[in-house]
Amino acid sequence: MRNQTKIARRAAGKNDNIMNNYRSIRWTAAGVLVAVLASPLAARELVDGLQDLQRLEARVATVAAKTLPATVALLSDKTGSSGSGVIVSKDGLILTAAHVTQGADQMLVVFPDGKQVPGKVLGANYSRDSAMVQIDEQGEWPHVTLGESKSLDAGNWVVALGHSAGFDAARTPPVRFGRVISKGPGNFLTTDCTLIGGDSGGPLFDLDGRLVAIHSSIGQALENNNHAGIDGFREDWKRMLAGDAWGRLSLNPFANPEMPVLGVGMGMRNGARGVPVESVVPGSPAAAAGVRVGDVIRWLDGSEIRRANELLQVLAKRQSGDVVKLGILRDGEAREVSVTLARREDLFEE
Amino acid sequence: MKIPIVLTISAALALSSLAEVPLLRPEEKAAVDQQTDSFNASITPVVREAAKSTVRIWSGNRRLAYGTVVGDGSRILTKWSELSRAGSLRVEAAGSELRAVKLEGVYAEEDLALLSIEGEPLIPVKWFFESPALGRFLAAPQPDGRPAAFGVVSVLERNLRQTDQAYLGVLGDPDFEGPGVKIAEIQPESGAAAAGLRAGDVILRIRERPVTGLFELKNALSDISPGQTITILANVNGTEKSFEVLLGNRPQLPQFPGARLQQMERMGGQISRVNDSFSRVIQSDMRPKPNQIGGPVVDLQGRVIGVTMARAGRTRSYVMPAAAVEELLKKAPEDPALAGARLAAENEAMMPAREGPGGGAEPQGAAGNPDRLRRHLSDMQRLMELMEEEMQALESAR
Repeated sequence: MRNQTKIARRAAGKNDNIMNNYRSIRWTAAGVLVAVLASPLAARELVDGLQDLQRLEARVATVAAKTLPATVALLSDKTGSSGSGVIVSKDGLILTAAHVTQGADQMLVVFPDGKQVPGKVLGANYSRDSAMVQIDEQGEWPHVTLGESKSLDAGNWVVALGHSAGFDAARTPPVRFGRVISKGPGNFLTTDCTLIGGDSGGPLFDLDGRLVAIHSSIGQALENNNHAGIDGFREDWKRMLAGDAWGRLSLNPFANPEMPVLGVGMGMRNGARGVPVESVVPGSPAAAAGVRVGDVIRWLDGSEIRRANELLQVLAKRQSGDVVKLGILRDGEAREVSVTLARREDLFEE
Repeated sequence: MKIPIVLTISAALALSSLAEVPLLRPEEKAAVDQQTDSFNASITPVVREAAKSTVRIWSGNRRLAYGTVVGDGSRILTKWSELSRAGSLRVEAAGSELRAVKLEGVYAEEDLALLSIEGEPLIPVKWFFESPALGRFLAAPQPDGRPAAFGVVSVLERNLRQTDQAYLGVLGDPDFEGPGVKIAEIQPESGAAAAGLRAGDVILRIRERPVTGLFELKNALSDISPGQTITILANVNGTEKSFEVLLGNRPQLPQFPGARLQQMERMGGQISRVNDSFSRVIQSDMRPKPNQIGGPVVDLQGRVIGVTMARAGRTRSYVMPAAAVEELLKKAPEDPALAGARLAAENEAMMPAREGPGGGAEPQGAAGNPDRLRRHLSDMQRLMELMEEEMQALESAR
């Protein structure tokens, strides 16, 4: 977390030098753009009284009982890694986090009752911290069904399981209950289901017991528990199943390879609102949409953009491939362009 | 950022550090805040009755812990380690003035203390003895009737005490591919040794249950109490043979989580100093602060199912089930003077060896014993925390 803060600060510092160039930009046309306030996000799952609580409780208890047998621990003698995973098919396909399988070809799969079977590591997308393991033994294994992650929003209730602090024979994987706090970057999402080492790779479920994400990382705050969305797994399914491993692990959300980007260098306006375009990456979505150096980004899909950090936050909620409407000021005149967002790692070679 | 007070009362849904979620948008915060308010409003009536039996323990201007009013209303059960070093204690119940209390006795094994209050009795809790199922909701009240913490049953009731676990006395061969557990070593004087099991034998079944490996062996033993005799099927030089094994108690072995895990456990708030080795606990993801431990815990029907025992880490708190509390209260507690003296002696012993080089009778190389060093390290950590806490108390008193 501290790391993340530091990086944000450094970016601002760099922009201090750039500011002066933009002081002269006139601000006369600001009134031309009609402020379309971002519609407040509907908190979808408010609780109204005891009956609501009881209904919620019954669903959480059902999810816990139903999904627990499929929540496994994954251990590697070779790497010393101890994480979690969840079985998603009768023949024993396991979804987990890429940093759990990293460096291992084989993993020991341990069920909540201690039963252990060998597992073969398949592929991984490190950028999305997602990976697959196949149980290397015939059998009909307990498994869960897949849900959706892109449709989740702040306020959606979720249930987390995982072998916290490693497999413990005297205990089943602890159940935790919470809600989505924030989305992004890209395929990731943040909940207040508290996680700790050993939970990595473990499952996050919706209230119907469908798998919506896999545990990835935590920040200092209790509300900062990050998960890789199931929709990302779905997109990478065939490649991972075939054993392909690619991408790059990054825990800084703004530098994450998954982060959707426009392809502009961002400047800062002294005291004025908006993000001046300092540079346009050739071949980027912004270039394709005709964004130029000197343009000032003021709106994105109706959300007002006052500072660079705000632009990054709003972008983080989108997915690469999404088309966004960018409101810009050029020579004091407001105009709107459509930009198809790209994935950071596809645009910037590192 | 100004945080509305109502949000800080429910530790489980506390939003005080939401600013630390880097991608949090104002509309997301608004959605989550609104949800928190609706949740707190809905759960407040659930904790109302139990709140009348919840007290706050003070020493001077420091809030030490919560307490649960038990028995005829003249006794309070609370968290011993939070008040063991404090001077005169007072309690605060809803709508009443601070009242003096006396330390009656200590249940050191469970880190609980029993206080007594003179004069008008308080309202005692009514226990509900059924242990809640997995995923069921739990809540802990503040003395003023608002919720202090909310969570779910994360793990069903269990014993955290190593020495209460059945002990077979075999070390498994980690390189053995299975199925079963190949014995690498037999502990002398263990049940396994007495029954005639030997290194090289492969354990195949524990009481009819096939064991695939070490983890399943451990799990199979976790259901059995020490003192029981069980049948073990093993492969001895190619022939299957049955053994009758009398299980003993697991010896106390030092267990220390890695530094990284310890750091993670502390991410997101302070944890209780004494947070392990309880004999009967329900694990929950509730997030009470260490000075909110010792109060009652209710289910959604408002029934008191137990008391909070410890905030044990980022993801877990422990609750002692009502039946276990009731059983404990039937026993006479230890004299507080004795318990205090023992604690002082333990603190003394906690200090790293003072003998100096060559001064002690210790055998050569004992200082390099990794277990002992680890013990010292964790003891030092505890001392540091105590000092830090006292400094904070001094500063806030200023």
